Amino acid sequence: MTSRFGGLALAFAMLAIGSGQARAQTAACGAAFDAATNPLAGGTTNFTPADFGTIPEVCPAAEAWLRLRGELVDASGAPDFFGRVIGSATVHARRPVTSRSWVSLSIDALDVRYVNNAGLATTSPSFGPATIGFHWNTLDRPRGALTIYGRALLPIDTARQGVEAGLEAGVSARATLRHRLAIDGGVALFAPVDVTAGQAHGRLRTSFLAEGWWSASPRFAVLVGVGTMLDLAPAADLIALVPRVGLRGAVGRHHLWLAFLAEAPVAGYDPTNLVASGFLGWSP
Amino acid sequence: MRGGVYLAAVVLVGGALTATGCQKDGCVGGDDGVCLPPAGCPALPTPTCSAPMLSVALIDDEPERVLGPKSLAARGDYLLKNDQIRLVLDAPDHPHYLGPSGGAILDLAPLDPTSGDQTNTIYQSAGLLPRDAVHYDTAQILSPPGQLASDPGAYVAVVFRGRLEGDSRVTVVTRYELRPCETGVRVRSDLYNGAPTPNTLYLTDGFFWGDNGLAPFVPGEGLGFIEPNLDLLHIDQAWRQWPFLAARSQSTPQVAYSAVSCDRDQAAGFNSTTLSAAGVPLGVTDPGDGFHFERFIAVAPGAGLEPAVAEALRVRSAVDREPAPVVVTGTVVANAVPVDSQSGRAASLLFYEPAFGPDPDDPTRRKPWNEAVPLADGTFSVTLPAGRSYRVLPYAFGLPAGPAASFTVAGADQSYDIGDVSITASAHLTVTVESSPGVPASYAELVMIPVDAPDPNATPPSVYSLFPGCIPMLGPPDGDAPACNRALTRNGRFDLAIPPGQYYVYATRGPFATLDRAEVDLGAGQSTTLSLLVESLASSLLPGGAISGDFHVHGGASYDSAIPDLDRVVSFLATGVDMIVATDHNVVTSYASTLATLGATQSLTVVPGVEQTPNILWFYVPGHEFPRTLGHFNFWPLVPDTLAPRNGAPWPELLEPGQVMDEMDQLFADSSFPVRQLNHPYSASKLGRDQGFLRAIDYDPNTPITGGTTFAANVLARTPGTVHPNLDWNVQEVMSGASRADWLRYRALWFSLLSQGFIRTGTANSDSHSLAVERIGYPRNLIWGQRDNTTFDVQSFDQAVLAGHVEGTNGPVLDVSIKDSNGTYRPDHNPIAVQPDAGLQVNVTAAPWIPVDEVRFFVNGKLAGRASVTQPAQPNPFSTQPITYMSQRFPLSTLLTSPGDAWLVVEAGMSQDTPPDTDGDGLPDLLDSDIPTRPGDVNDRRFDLEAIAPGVWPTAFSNPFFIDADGDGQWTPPGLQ
Repeated sequence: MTSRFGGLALAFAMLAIGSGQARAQTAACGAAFDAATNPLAGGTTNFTPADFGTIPEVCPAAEAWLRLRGELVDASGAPDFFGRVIGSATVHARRPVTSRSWVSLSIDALDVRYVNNAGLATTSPSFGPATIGFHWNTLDRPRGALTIYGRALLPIDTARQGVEAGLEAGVSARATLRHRLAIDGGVALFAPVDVTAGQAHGRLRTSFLAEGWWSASPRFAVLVGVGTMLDLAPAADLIALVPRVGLRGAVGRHHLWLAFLAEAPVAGYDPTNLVASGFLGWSP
Repeated sequence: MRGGVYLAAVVLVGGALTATGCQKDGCVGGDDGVCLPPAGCPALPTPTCSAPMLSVALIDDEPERVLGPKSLAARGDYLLKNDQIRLVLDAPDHPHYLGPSGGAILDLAPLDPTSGDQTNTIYQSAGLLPRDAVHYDTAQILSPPGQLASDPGAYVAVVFRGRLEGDSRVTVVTRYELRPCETGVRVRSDLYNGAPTPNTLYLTDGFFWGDNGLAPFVPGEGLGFIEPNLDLLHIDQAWRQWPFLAARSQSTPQVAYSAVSCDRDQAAGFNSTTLSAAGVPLGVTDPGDGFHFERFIAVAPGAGLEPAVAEALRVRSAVDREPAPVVVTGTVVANAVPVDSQSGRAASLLFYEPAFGPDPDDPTRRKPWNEAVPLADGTFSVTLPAGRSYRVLPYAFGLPAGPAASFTVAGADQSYDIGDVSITASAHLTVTVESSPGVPASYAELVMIPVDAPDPNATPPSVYSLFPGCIPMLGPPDGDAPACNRALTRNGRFDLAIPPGQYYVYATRGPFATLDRAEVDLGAGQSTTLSLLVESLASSLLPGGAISGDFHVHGGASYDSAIPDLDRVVSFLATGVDMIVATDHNVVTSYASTLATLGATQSLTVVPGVEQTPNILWFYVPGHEFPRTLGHFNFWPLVPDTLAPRNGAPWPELLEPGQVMDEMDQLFADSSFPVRQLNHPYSASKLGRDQGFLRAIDYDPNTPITGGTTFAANVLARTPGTVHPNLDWNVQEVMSGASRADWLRYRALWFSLLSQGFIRTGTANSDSHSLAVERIGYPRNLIWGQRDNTTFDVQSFDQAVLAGHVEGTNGPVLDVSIKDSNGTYRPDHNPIAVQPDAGLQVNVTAAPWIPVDEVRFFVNGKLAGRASVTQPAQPNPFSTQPITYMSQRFPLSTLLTSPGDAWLVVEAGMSQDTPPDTDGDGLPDLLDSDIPTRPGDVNDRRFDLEAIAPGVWPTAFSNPFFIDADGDGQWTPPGLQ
């Protein structure tokens, strides 16, 4: 069920971003476009709706991107006879509030889910959910930067009978090793809560990300990394251990960039085989 | 300012949570052990009645079974009863059929004493695979203390809590509620997806009709009783949505069912005579999300669909899905005379919205809504949705019987009488059958076939396209007599309404009796009387002390049979079997009360047994993507326990045969000689369920079992449980039913086992499920010994069976023995050492309508010789004298030409070469052109046998002699050659 109140919250958040100030510039976070700056938002629609639970950007900036994400679960053979393909379009925008802080908004503008459970196949388009976040760059040195953040998952999801919301806090960081090499990543602690028919089911989860960037030039970089996500409560369990590769490059002279991220979970109970995301960004 | 915006956003988020998620709704948010689903269908008002009654109880030591062989209430189950119906829900630890637990509807019957129960089970699932079936763990009775049935809002309920079989994080809680005066049960199931991933969770009721029982129906264009082909690999092709599901019985007790979704306009699923699934339309359920499914499942007494459809339309109107329905009345007449419908056999009516286009009656495009069976005076009433145009098409004997007529109904405030519906008058046949001149036969069967061979391109009669029948179809093929083209008598007299036509009319009492035939030609409205004579030849055909028995028969207690017990027992008596083993699927039965009712306890011995029949696919065989079930096995002797689930039979699912045998060890009535019979070992699968164990595991009889050379060999040799290896059956069906092709395959498998030293008694059984579709006693076994029904001793009988003192036959009588200077030997599992002068004595006799051509000798699985029999000088199938085809001694040395120990099997029958293996599975493959069909010439030797037992290829076979030819005191199997 789409929450009317959630929709209003989303509108307020959009207004807040729209009224933000100009981008700030700091030492480790360069003024010009740097393809190797900031993690690419990954994960799955199921565990990281919109960008909930993913490690966000380290460096302050005004930015917007559109992510087209495809996820595949192929267990079509015996004994599972199960398959799932999810396509989603996520819109993300952030806007500085001060020179070292910013707010963010992400929303899954369209999810299309195809789930085939032993021949019973359904395709369901839906809208939502969304997140809003506040990020504070607490450290910015020539060799590194660190940002803490808080984020909320808004209960806006037309796919649901009930609602899902959540809170998240975490740290994202970046270290410049040598010329052309950088490492970024972070840790997030997040708590999604499903509230359905008067019953709430909450979970506490954490995610880690570490990825290394190599820049061929400031306009093009590739990454290799690994992420992991775990349940902490009510029971500890490994959700997924996910190697990732990606690239990002500037396009043209209008502050546009393109990126691609491929993730392939290798362990954990998340049955997803492959996640592929393409990004079109604008970093003025 | 900006901070206030963020704060407002957070507050609004909290408000959203409060407003949308906190409304309590049963167990949709998960089963916390406390939640209770509210009653289903709250918009459906409770009717009133003059004497409301309501009760719920745990069944204890009092039998709580109603009329109908499918009634299976057991101790520990839940009985809910009001003034209209009774409902039995099986206890969570009492699984039946496809459900992995109880918590399902086991019995649902009107209180009307003329009606009864026809349900196998109605269980819940959230998908197609066994892992998605709902497994209930606990149950809870709800009955407000001090409540009177007359109190407003009175109810009783049972709530079952469970989860999916394969994922306990998906919880399902189902509430069955009964209210006074209602003709059905309100059901609500709450599902919560506590699993971490989105899934297509199709919450549904599975109506396990079981193939040959109720005729399911859904309204819809091109639907009605017509069901799309159900292919598990392409389930989408059979997927439909419908306003209600209904089903009518094709046998007594006459009862109809319907199921209506209350919280959705349409239910969705598939509909077939095996299984119908009526559930929620498909959708993705996210993790942490849930939903409910409410429906009303009604039951009503009476013939045809109308009683249940009327209730379904009433419910849909009450929950605002449709305007109030209308009731249409009329009279079915033939030549202006009202027609007695004879429970629908001689007249029934199908109502549908006409198809668009030039043919309003096009079955692929018309939209059926209801079916009505007129009363004995020809009048009918039928309930239909208001405001539509309809056509009514009359049926009789399984075919349209008159022109369709059109009519239109408006609102429900009017009454509609469409007057007379005309059909072609039936003919009337009276037959008297005598067992000797002037003496009426106690039991006999009447068989009719058309004089002219039916047009193979013509649509055969059927129950509205379900259950294809035969010509003439005197009644539904799986129902009570008359069924298909057959009828039964208990006093020698038949009084039948038949479709006009020219027929051969046979009277038969089995293969060990004479046969009589007459020809009739009756026009519409005409009648005639016949007298036929059928004399028993058993005393002259059968060796002294031998009795005939069928070790594999089904009655209405089997999920895939609908024949009432009374007709079932009369069919046994009419075909002349002396004993049967009652082997219903997964239920122990005895027919004891029916035998007593008929006073036939001295005429027929029934040994209670069971056919353990798994239906849940689970066993993976290399090279096959889909899992399998591991075949069917009979066990006897058992003792029915009518207070136990399944009358004491274990739930046979998810077990290898050795494990099934382990479980049965505890249940034999006599553990000295327990019989474990492998049934139809290479039978094809049915809707994915493998019926033949050896086929399921791809056993090639040309490969040895010992040595573990193949996957199948390993499966056969291993002991999956504690005692029995998987190949530890001690009896194997060599003939199962009439199929000539199957017999040749099963024989090859039997021969393979014998040659490898796995000695199993070969048997011949009918696997009959009905009066007409399979013929009881064709084939059957002759069991040697000094036996009769008055002194029947099951222990010595089973001992004889296990020792191989059995001949299988579908007509000829074969008597073989080896004689030498030391004595006479009959087939036996104990090896014999014979003298050089030993000879094989072969006697072959048969009733005059059973043709025989030759005798065949098989040594170590190879054809060692064949000999022609003596044909009668003047063949007359209707002679009263038996035929002696052979009485001859063959020197054993001419048959045992190879050195070493050997086994020897003798066959007698019509000529049969072993066909080649054309598909590479190691088994002979009969050409389609060799499958027996109706001969074109009425004087053909097989013509009359084909009429009585279609598909039969006359054959008798002995069990083996095991000959210790090398004289070392033991028998060494020859091995595969």
